[in-house]
Amino acid sequence: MSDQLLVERNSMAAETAQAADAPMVKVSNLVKHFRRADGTTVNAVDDVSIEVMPGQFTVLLGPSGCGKTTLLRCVAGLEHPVGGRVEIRGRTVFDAATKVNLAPEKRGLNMIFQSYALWPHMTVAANIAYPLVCKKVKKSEHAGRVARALEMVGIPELGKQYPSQLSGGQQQRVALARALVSNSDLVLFDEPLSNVDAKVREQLRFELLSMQRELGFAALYVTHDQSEAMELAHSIAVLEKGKVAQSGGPQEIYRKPSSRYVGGFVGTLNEIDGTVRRIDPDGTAVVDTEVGELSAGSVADGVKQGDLVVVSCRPERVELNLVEPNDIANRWQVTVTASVFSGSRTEHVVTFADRDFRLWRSDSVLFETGTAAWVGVATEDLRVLPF
Amino acid sequence: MTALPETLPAGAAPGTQPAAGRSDGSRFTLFSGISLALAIVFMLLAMYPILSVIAGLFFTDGTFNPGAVFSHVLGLPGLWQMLLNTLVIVVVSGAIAVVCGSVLAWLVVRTDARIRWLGGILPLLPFVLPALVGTMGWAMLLSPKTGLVNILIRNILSPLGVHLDQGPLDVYSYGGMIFVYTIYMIPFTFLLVSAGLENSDAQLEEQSRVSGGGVLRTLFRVTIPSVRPSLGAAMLLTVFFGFAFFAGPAVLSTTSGIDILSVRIANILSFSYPADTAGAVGLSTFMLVAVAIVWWIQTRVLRRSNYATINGRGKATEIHLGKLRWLGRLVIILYALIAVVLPFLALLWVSFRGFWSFDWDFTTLSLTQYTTVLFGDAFSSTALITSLLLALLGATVGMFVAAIIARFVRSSPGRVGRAVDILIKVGAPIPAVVLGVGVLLAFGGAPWHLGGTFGILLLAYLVHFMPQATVNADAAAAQVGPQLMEASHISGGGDGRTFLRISLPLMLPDLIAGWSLLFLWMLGELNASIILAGTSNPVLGEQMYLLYFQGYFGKLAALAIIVTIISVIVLLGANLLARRLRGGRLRPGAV
Ligand SMILES: Nc1ncnc2c1ncn2[C@@H]1O[C@H](COP(=O)(O)OP(=O)(O)OP(=O)(O)O)[C@@H](O)[C@H]1O
Ligand SMILES: [Mg+2]
Repeated sequence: MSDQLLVERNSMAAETAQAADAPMVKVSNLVKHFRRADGTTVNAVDDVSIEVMPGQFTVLLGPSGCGKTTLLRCVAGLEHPVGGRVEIRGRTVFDAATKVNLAPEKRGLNMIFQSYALWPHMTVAANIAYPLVCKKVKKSEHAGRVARALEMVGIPELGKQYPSQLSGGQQQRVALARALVSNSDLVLFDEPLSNVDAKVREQLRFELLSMQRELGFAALYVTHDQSEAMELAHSIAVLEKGKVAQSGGPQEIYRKPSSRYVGGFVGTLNEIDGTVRRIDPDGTAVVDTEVGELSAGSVADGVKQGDLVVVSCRPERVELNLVEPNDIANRWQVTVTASVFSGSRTEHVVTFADRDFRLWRSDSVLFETGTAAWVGVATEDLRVLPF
Repeated sequence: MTALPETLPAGAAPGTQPAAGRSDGSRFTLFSGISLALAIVFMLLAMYPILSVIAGLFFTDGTFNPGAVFSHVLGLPGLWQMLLNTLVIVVVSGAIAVVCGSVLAWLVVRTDARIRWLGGILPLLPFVLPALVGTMGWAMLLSPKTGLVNILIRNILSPLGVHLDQGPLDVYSYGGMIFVYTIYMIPFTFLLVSAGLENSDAQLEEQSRVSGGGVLRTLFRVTIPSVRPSLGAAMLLTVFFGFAFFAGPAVLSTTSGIDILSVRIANILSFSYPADTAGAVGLSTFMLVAVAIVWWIQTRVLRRSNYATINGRGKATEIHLGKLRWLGRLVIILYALIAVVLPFLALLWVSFRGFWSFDWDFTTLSLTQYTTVLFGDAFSSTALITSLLLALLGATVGMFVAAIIARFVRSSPGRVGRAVDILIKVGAPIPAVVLGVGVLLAFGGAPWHLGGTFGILLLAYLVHFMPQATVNADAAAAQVGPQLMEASHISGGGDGRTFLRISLPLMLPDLIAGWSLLFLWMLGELNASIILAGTSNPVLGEQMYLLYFQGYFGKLAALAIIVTIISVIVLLGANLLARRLRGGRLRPGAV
């Protein structure tokens, strides 16, 4: 891709990202059922609304079978939803009410399939040139653009190979080049990194990130890997059984999950049951629990005084001491049941009142099993979630 | 297809502009329109002739007179004897074919008697030597006076003091007919039962062996019950095939005096003057009814059997037959000998010798018959060229259309796709003889006047073989994962481009294999041709049939050998080409 184009793109991405009022993709109340062979229906996508801003990386995150792929395919036009509406660049490409349903090839987007879907009868170069052929780009430009695309994904020497002669990682790069060669400003990804091994995955993830930031296309990216989601995303939508459980920036999703499901899915969550005694005007809550009264810095929407709730915190936000930490608001006594060194950190499991807590520390101090200790959690690190 | 601007700044197209598209099931595009149109055309082409037959039952010379045809048919001489002959021969041969086919299937699929390369081509053998040619070869081997096998047996018996003037075997008998029917039914039963064996749960058998059941006990207590649905389907298929079978009985029926339904229909239409159209229509109805009943039962049985099979969990370890292994191999080889090698050798000898005589006079062998049929005998050479053209054109058009339809049916799971699939297969149960009669009634006269033309033959072949062609094309389409097509759409390719650039090339290896079968079927087609081919357009099947009955055995044999050589070359060539196309890259099904 020419430098001039790059500059254009960057400025465009920057502008639009700041303007941030006209979404690239707007999905409203989308519904898609499947009929299984035994006659039952599955609500694969159930009243979903999401937005993808220009130049932004939006991740659809959720466990297997929650409808991520189906949602992505509805946006691409490969599935036929039964209800709702999809707009791309402000243009309605699907609307159940007015019976609009634009073919995938007319939606002006690109997609990378989980299995790459490279055409085995074409060389790598021919695979990459195909979108140019379809979009009637001048033939004289093909060779140059294919070469630049190959360069960009780091495999300039593989143009004459057939896909079956490539490694998984290389095939992935070809799929990426094919999606990027036509300079589309919207690319959909369906778990593109799930078929390559961990090392390659990390490398590709990094390259993908820098390519996206450089080219400035909007990405809608499906994954079930929460760390992948956190690293790549400007914004994340966590799906649960075909519905959006929560959407927001990675930090917000991680620190302020709206439910135990979301909190547990994006990371390890420690939980203590309790009852809300009161919620103060500043948003902190006092909760009665089996370790006494805890003060939590934030409360999920919909939690009221008197509710049965779960008080939660992240493992890396818990202090572990042999003596009582008097300077921390919430503290109680525990017994260490496991303590292991795992390279970048030490992990400990502590027990109190038939309950386990996991905590991670960056130092390398290990405790013997059975050691009596204190844990402490700051008010801002406790969050109250609906039971 | 409109080319999209490469990048659209956000909000460049404000507001919403509805775009073309439909919301009920699949999007309606030019491609689906073409597929649907093709399916409807082929359905009409199949239904119109059948409706003509049925109309022929009720209308005589344009007036509604249902009684006339019925009373005429019921008054045909020897009607009931003929129907009884047909029924008995079909059912008895079917039963024998199921037993033989199952034994072969068991040997090939489950035991160490299998001969790998032979197991694969066993079902293809009848394509190499078409039934017409094979039956003629067997007539040369088994006719009572001059049959080679009979001569050999008599030569062995006479030193022992047994002198026979003819026989002891006679191909022109119930036994001979059943023998020939059985040979050509075995490939069907073999295919169905081996598929059943491959799908049945091998672990059940292994469990039985581990629990102390011997090979035989396992066979009877576990294996056979587990493939019972396949056995049922095989039996029905033989009946279905048997009623329509023409080439075999056509050769034997006249001499043996054993009248057979399919042969009688062709005879009263093509070889009696004036042609007895009413009789042919009436008899065709008998066949349609029989075939429809079997078809109905079969679809029900097949549906249930699908339900019952457990999909292959692990491959069964092969059963070691010990010393019996050689016996097993002998059985497999024996079938190959009977189906192809022996009749082929008999024909080869006659073609070089010039006439039907097994006098082992090697001095008179020559290629005269070959030069005659290729260059001297106008009818034979014209027939060869016409049939080659028909097969080339028919197989190519047929496979291309079938590929479009198969692709469409696979990619549109909605109601339209299902309808197309049903429409295109409507003609499947119609016997070729009946279709021939129908096509002649429908297109032979006004307003089409296609009688005796190249066109009417091509049309009949296409209609007759289209259901099978779509089955083959569907197998090819199943090899190509849907994401490969979706990736093309996403890249901006429309339906047509996706079909031509992605689906078709990826299906090509399997389409070529399917094409070769279609080509061979059309090359040797006899049933419909005998009714439809005129003197200006002789075709191979019909020409060989005529040569046989005119007693030109030398010419016939030479023609038969030429057809066989072409068949082998096409079959091998297509398979090699298909393999080369597949080679060097992964199977597209990997996605
Ligand atoms: N063609 C189909 N027919 C019937 N059911 C389907 C079909 N496709 C998907 N489903 C069902 O819809 C639900 C959502 O499937 P989907 O493929 O969107 O899940 P996913 O979130 O992508 O999962 P994964 O992470 O495993 O890929 C599942 O319950 C699945 O069984
Ligand atoms: Mg998925």
